[in-house]
Amino acid sequence: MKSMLKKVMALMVTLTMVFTLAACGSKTEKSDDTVSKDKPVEITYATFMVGSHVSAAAEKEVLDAFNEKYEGKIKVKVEELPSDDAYVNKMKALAAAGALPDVINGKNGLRELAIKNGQAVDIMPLVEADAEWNKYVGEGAINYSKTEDGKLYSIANQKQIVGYFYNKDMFETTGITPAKTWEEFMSNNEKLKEAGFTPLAMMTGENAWTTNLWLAAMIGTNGDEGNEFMNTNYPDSYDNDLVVNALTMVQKCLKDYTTPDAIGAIYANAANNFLQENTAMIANGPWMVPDFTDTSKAKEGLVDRVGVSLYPNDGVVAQYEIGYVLCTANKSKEEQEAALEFLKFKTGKEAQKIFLEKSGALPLTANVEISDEYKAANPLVVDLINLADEAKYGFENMDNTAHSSVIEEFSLNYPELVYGGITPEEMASKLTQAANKHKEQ
Amino acid sequence: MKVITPIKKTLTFIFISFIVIISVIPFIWVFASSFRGNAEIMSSVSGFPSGLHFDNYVAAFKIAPLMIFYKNSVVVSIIATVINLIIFSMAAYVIVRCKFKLKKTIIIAFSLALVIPGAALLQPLYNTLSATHLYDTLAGLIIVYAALGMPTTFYIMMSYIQTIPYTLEEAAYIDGAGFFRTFMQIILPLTRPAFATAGVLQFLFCWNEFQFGLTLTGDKMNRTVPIALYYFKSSFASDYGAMFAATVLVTIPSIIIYMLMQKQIISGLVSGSVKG
Amino acid sequence: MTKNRKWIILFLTPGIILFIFVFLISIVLLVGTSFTNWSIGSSISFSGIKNYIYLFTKDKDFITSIFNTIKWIALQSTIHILIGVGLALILAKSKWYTSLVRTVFFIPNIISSAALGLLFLCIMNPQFGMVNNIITKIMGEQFVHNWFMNPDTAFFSVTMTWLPYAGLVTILVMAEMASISKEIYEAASIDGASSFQQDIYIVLPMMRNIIGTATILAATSMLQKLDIIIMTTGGGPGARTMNMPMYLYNTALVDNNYGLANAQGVILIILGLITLISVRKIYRMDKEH
Repeated sequence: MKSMLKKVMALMVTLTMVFTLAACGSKTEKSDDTVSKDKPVEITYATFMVGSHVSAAAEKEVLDAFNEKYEGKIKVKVEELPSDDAYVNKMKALAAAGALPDVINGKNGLRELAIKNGQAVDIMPLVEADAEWNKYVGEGAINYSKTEDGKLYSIANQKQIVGYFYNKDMFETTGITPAKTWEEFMSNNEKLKEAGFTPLAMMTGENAWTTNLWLAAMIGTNGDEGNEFMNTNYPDSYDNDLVVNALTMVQKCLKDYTTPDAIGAIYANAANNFLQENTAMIANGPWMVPDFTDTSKAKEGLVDRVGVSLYPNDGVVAQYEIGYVLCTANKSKEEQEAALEFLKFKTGKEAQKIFLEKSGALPLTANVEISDEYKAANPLVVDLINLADEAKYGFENMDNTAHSSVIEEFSLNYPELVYGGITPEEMASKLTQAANKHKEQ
Repeated sequence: MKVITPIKKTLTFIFISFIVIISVIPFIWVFASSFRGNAEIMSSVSGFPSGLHFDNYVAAFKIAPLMIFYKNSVVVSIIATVINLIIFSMAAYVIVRCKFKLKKTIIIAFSLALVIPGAALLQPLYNTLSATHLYDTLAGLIIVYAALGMPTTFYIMMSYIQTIPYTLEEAAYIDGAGFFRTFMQIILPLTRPAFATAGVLQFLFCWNEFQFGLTLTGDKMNRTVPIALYYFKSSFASDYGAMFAATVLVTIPSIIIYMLMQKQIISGLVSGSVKG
Repeated sequence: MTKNRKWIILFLTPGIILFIFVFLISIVLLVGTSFTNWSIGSSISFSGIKNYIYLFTKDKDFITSIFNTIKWIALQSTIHILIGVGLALILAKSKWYTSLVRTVFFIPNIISSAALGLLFLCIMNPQFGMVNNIITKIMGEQFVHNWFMNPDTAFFSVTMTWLPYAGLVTILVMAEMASISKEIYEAASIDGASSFQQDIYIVLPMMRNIIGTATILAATSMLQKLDIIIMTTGGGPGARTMNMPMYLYNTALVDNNYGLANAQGVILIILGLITLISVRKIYRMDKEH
């Protein structure tokens, strides 16, 4: 019995070793080196813009348009990943195995992972060689994503401009106007509170989106130093006065000037509070505008009562989406070319236009015109764009400049900050610690 | 003695009521919310101020590819459950009845699945399935699910088989029956309640499993039902009404399976009590 | 017994194959990479026990997560088992409400965690939630309390979300309870034992094995459960509701540090094995039939 079992065990162990070696050795699927003329080249793409996502309709239209245009020549195999978290987690698993799809959206640090594992392609020479593409992508987007040594690993397909929305009726009743300085902002909040309104719709769950927009604005409008800080990608340290002062202000807002459910709230809670007219202000971007006319989400006629404004000190979040990464460094020539075509299409004129019309995403350059119908139907967006042109301080938000660990740390520690468990200085230290987790060891 | 009984009865009543309330609230809440609009759900209103949103159910099918996922879930869950039950009831029987050297090792090995964190398994399993060309296949999912349910089935079967007195098998052996026949004809019928219980748990596990389903499949055509629920959640626009409608649609089959299994357990118990 | 050698092997082999394919390779990789520097995308380099030293000396949140996990294991193994077994004993008396209650108690376990997470978020909403509304009605004045995020009640709230798990214990115990033949009850009644005494001295000892099984399943589930935590507190405030699987998930998928995450995994497995072996000893599950 012993010897029989031993033999079986030995066989099992051998099989195990074979599997392990095979698993470590395999990278990506076998690529088609010999492509026959009549079979289309297959490339892979992963998207999170599915289901109830704001841009789901736009994304589908772009994908369909591409497949139609390149029918028979290129076929895009799409992996749908519902919800941002599912997308990021799956991409990380693939990145660890060196198996990222040919084109991905590089958000939440995925671009950096693609660069690290050698799959990302430097597209700078490719952009410079294609004048048409260059024209619609524009200097701004290229410079934004350029690395220090002039390499370009990702290209956006939309510009992001974010201010805040406010309830004009509530402001009028209280007798205030959008604040010009941060002192005025805080005193406005106090006045709103005395008038019986809750000033701000904030949240600390998920990525603390609305709260961190205020935080970014406080830092980014704090003179040149603050502005530079909020324009630096992945700062090493958050232990400075800029951050601590801003955290102190945010702490007061979370304690006194927001709804009781803000601590632990997810985006849906914060949005709901503004849309149901529970609060006077919400920091958020133009994609929220369609919600103002959606009666299943907002109070009737809200769209007429909403105004948009820049942050105090004339600040605005002006940045580009991280954008799309070409991950075909180790693939065949046909696949690289096909994927490049797709990337060009996804960030080109037609796609930008579709995304503007269908999901309110601002195009990269003025070369893609905003139609008059769109302008007439979306006055708030037009207001925002005009205001942004006059802005004194432009900066990025936390999601673009901080590591995912730091964002996580925000979400975990805002409650402690509010309930007195830690001080703003201590929280800044924790943020620095979290940033250091990504330092090369 | 007589005084204690009313107190006991009241305590029992309070206890049972508490249990029923905390169990029923989740489902009622989900069911009611499936007819509400987003704003109503987030503002937690009771009643239906804006009417009954039957369109949530329509939206559920439009937003997520529910039918495809449903079909895949049914296939994967049933096959994985059957495989899991067969394999681990066999293993449990041998462990309980036979003496051999590596018994303790195997018990610990089969229990390991309970203590290995799922997040740590994602990457290795992805690599293993990729290497064996089982990535993005229903077969790969079935194998993984059958293995993940290893310890629960194993323990339940072990525990139940231990309550069966050996006399029945002894009698069978004396009558000349072989090992396999004894297993099939004596043990299996008697362990019906255990099969039903383990089967329900395994089925529910496969039916609701999200993380591995997402990581180990890529094509929409191979995905299972829990993933469908995430189609309704996105960073800035979630349709919670439709999500709860989809939840109701997803949960109802599991409840039906559970009730069917309950019947199996009860009928099994009736026949099982013969074995005094 | 030994003449059944070939049957033993035949009956065990499929299970062993499954184990090797799905678990063994993964465990080997897990343990192996816990001794390396491995972040997603970077190359792997050996680093000895650096990860383990870091976890036990510099990582305060990890230590907190260990204590939280142990606390929850203890709570699940005692309170939930008590509730589950108690309910099973009551329901076994075949009252009119038995099958109804048994079905109903288990249902929360059937609902997918995606929906459950949102459900808890809404029911426990400080401003609008059902729980606070009921308390407001009882107390007469506006009751606003953030159950999940207030440092004082965060741990308690998360513990409460696992209460329905006791339903699993109930169905496990009830399935085996009916294997006790009626004659034993009758004999005990004749001897003058009350229903309560019968339960304690006859039924419970016979259920020793399944109660042990249920305890193992409940205790070890605390080493796996993170879906409700992800959707409600995320482990916060600070690290008050952080348990080991949640912390591991963060280390692997937010910090991108697989080497460190796998070291946590190894420690988690060791804790789990200790729990497993202890429960088996306490309930004397290794005794031969």
